[in-house]
Amino acid sequence: MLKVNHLYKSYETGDKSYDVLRDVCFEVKEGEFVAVMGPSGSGKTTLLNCISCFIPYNKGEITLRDVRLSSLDEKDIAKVRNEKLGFVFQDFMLLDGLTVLENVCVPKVIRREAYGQMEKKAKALMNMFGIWDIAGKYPPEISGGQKQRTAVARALMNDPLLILADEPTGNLDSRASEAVIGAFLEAQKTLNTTTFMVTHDSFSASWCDRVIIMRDGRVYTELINRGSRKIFLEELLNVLKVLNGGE
Amino acid sequence: MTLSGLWEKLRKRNKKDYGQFRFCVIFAAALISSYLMLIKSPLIENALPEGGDSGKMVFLILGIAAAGCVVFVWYAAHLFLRYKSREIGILLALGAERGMLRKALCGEMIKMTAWCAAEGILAGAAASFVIGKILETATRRYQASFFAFTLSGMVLSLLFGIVLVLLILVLTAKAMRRTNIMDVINEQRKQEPFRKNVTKGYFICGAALAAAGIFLGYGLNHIAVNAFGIFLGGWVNTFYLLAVIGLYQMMVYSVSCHQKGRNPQKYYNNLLYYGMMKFQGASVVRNMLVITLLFMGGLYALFYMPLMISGSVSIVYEDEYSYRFLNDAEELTKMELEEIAEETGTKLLNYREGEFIRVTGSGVERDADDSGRFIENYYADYAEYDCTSASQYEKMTGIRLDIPEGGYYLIQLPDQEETTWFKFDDMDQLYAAGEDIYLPMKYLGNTEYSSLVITPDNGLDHGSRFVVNDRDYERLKASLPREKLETQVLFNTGDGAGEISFAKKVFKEFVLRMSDDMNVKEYYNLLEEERRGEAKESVMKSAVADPENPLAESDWQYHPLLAPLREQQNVMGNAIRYLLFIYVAIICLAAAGIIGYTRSQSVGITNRQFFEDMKKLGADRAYRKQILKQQIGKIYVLPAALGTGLILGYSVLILYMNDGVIKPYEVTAAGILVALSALIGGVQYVLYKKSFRTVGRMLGL
Ligand SMILES: Nc1ncnc2c1ncn2[C@@H]1O[C@H](COP(=O)(O)OP(=O)(O)OP(=O)(O)O)[C@@H](O)[C@H]1O
Ligand SMILES: [Mg+2]
Repeated sequence: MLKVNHLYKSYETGDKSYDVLRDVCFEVKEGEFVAVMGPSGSGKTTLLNCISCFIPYNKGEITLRDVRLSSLDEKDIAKVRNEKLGFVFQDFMLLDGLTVLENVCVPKVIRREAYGQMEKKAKALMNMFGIWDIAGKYPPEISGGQKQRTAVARALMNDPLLILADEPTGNLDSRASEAVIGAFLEAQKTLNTTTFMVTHDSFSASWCDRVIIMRDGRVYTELINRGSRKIFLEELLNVLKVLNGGE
Repeated sequence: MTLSGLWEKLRKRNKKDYGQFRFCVIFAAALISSYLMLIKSPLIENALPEGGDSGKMVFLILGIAAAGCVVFVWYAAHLFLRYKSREIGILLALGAERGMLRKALCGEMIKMTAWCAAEGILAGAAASFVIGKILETATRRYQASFFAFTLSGMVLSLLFGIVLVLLILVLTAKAMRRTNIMDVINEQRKQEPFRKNVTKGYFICGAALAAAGIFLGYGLNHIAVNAFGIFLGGWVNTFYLLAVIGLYQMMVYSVSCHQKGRNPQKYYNNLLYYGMMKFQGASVVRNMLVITLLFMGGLYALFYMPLMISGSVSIVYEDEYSYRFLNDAEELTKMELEEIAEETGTKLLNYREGEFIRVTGSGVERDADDSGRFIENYYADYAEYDCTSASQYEKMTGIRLDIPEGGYYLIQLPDQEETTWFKFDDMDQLYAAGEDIYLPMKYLGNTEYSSLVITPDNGLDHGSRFVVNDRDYERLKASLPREKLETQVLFNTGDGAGEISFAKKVFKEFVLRMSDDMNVKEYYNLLEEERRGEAKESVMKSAVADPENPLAESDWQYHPLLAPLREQQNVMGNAIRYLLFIYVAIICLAAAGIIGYTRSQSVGITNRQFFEDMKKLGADRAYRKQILKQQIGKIYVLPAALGTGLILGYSVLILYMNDGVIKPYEVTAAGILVALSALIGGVQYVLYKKSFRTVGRMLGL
């Protein structure tokens, strides 16, 4: 459903230009749970931002269900973002002026849904992530992990087809991490949701069907989960060891 | 919950950001509308006739004031939109449609700005009422107009309000049009690094430019005229721009020059500070420059008053009433004047009449041509001058002059000096019409009698009045027609409340009874027109003031000196001028303050992460405070010091240059300037402290 073809992206700083993504190619199938791993600075967040159409890219193509994203106009992109995609940002992007509950509701507010339904759904998600008891607090008053769970709940509000998550478990203890991964798996099972997740945590990644490993702006390798989580985790750790060891 | 409800909620939570923005809009609207309502009220309109210099100045100042207000509203809006942009970015990222958000945000901004503008206009109306009433009461003795609200004042205020709303609308729409969501999200920490590596040479270049700009802008004309006889013209003022560029370069240096060089310890001590500036330097410097310029504008306006008071020499008139008229006019007789005096409860004292004649004579025209060269042209028939005889002069003034045939005295104010354009001895022959010959005349000196110097150009150029030998006078007068004979009237009135109404009646009668030849403007010179071959009925004719409104400024050649009215006019004129300059000063200084204040908050927003990191790295509170102090100080201290120093220096230079010495009253004036600067400095300090505290709280210091 998601295809990335020969994607190039560079940042201009002053008079220098840094190539951050160089010829990235991969595909994510409908209902697949894919993780992206790689050293810090290898371009994972940049890749995610390109897929979300948050930043422009230099060359290449991204298609979502055979629709070329670059061909959509703004209005359509907004609709896609709201209805088809769920986002978890690396730095959460919560609105400081709204309570946790309200923040979770925002995607549905944008969709102009009825109030009752909104709250019911929000309550279910927030209970699942254990943040219902802080529903009335404001983001500056809660912890990093709580913020992250709020962001994940928000991403799941509209039952998205594709979840784009940047380190959704980065700030969480293992129980909370499991809840987040569990939620993604649950969505995969019941709604056939596709998840595309950046993570540094091999343990979280081992739940995935496939892991794409990036290095220096390129796809370094891909690992496929063939059924056994344990074996997959070991494979992952091995590759990462090689990668971090500098090979 | 709906989107607009959400919006509402966000507004309530971010009350402070809104408060600041609203304050700026209200303040701008109040300032401009109070100004407009004042100048459009009959009180001031009657004192400032159309087309007069003061009238032009009023509108010039309005322009400056409006521009100043627009600038600070712009800044406030910018900062406010920065606060908002994060919210907008997140909503966009979550799939809100841009159009929808734009509509919501624009709608909200329009509503808010319109409300604030309305509140501002109301406050402005109240302020103008209070100021107007005070002005009215203070000048009651001199004038009969009242302060009142006028339709035009209100409509113009409303228009300004609309301009503000439109400005905000444009800024909002522009902020919304940004396509890249990440940029919008990151707007709050948008940064622009300096491109250049700034070295000492850069600083020296800036200093040189600044000095050259001031030197060229201020002195070039002076030097050119004195040394080469060339007047270069007003464009020389554009050299001041060089000074502005130089100022900019020096400021850039001050915030960004940072090399290890000879003192590595210092380098590391200031490492963090310069590190921060690296990415914010450009906008910081821009702000500093704007603040400096606003400071200079505000102080200049504030200094105007003491400078003007010390600069204006008040003329002492020997006679309170003095006017002249051509003899073909049926002007007031002594008896008629006495009647008016009786009616108005005053008394005529020391009434004298004397005779002048209008005689063609030579003169020198000085001008600068298109290329700026200074040119002098001598003309045998330069102008018609007023001449009187030594005995008539003695009868009028009691001054006895010994004048041989062929000699003349020039009637002047005390201490008058020659100028670049006019010399005392420019006239050297007069035309005797009866004999059809030119009598050579020799300048003998000035005779001082202020009440007789009521002609244009302070009794120079074609307004010169001469005293000649009695025999020469008879030869010049022979066969002159009646309309070339002039009567000069001088008198005083006794004490009494009625002198103002007496003067008004005299003025009215005097205007109504004048002859056609008297109905000309100050600058009108019949012979000059003939020389240039222009039509006789020139635009310079028909100048005359409104007989009902003696207070109005006029450029009438025969404008009478009626001391009570003149005093009244001075009082009103000065009151208005002071008022206007105080407005400009307030606006400029307020704008500087607001920009400084908003800017320091930007520093807070931009560097929140930085200070957080510093804390994590173990920097103690004092150290972090120190760094913040340096940052905020940059915005407050240097611009204020530079602006004040430059304007203070410039003003003292003016005090000195106008006559080459510093007189005691000029010392007083300079003292007042220093005191005012200190006061403004104090206000600036309070603002600085407050900014420091606010931002400190924002950063948890
Ligand atoms: N706005 C920007 N301007 C210039 N360079 C940038 C910008 N954003 C990212 N980069 C550079 O692009 C490269 C990739 O950044 P990116 O954030 O995608 O890394 P990442 O893989 O997400 O790292 P991490 O695991 O630490 O989050 C980095 O070298 C970074 O320095
Ligand atoms: Mg990242």
